Amino acid sequence: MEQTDAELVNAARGGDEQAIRDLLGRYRTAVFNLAFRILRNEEDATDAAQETFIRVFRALDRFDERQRFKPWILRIASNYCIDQIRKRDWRTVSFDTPIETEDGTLEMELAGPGPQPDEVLERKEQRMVIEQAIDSLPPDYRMAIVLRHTEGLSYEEIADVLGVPLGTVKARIHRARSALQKKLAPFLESHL
Amino acid sequence: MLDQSFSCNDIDDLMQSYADDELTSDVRRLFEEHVGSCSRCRAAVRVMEETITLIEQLQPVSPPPHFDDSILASLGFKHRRIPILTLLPSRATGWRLAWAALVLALISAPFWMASYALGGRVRGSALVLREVPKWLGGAVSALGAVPTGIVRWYHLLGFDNLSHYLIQGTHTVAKAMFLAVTSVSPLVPLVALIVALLSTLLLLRSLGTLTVHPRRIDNGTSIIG
Repeated sequence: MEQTDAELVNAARGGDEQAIRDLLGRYRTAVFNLAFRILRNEEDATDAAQETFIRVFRALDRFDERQRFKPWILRIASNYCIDQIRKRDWRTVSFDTPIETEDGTLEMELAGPGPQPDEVLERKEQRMVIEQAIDSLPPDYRMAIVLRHTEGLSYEEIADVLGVPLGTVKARIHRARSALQKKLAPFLESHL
Repeated sequence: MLDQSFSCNDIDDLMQSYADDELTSDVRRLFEEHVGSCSRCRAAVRVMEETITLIEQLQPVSPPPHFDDSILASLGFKHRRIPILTLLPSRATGWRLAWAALVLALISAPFWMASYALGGRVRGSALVLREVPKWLGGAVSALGAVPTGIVRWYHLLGFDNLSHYLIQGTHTVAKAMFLAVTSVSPLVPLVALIVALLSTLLLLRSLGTLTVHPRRIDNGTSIIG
């Protein structure tokens, strides 16, 4: 039977290598994805995700088992990523500042015609458009959107991860979705 | 019970709460009534729902290979065996490829010579016949069947040109090498072949360790905290 996170955490506290590997296996992609969406660079995301796990495993004694493990680990990851962005360029962090929502400004660099089947081309195009739209959001909005719609966290858990009030989380997600909706509208309307 | 109807502005204001299924049943009914009769708001709701679907369907990005290794190393674990790629001289791909090609060429050389012997050319050469005992020629020929077979597979797969050039190329190189080393001693190709076989086995074994399995190096003290 598959072990729970709490059981793995307990085993990992005792230095159980397999438990550490299992926890890495469960959350490696989630942590890396969050870091990648925030830092937008594979090398930085790899460093951030690895540093997150090192901090997580060194701080396991402080983990309260009544909590869910995933939000806890994502909080450590998001804090680290925010620090990295601040170090990189403080101007890119704009907590709760209004975001640009003008219509039709998304540039779409569509792949040229090639031997790919239409469906594959369309999926690539779709992926590129949505990634560009998410990347265009400020980091705090990006983080909220990824936590909600990629990692499936509840608003309460996101508030916990980001250390902000519930209302702030809702505002960020709603504004981010509105901005994405406006950016993606030209693309979606031509494909719906 | 609400009895007013919603405007397009109301729909815009409530759109996100609707997406999160946070509207009360009365407000939701009015919302859906308006959307049902307004093509502009219907399109807007559809775009919003599609936007959320697109975000949720976004494929996760995979961490690079060996992602876990440096984490485990930082926590006091070390690899049992060093993966072969880390033995290569540089992280740069070009250097890795050049180094891999050199290793491959060194390991392949005896096989090429064996391949040459298999083709019956050893027996056809008076020079070599004098110096190579029959048992040695036979042993080398048998082992040489492996690379020759590989070249023939290319042929069977339809890579005629590739097969042709490979056979011609390996034959020329093998002949030169075979004549050169047997002029020193007839045992050289056999020794080289044994070394090559062992190297191949080691190479395959090392490739199997690319997914490394670390072990603890401390003396039982907790690695945590």
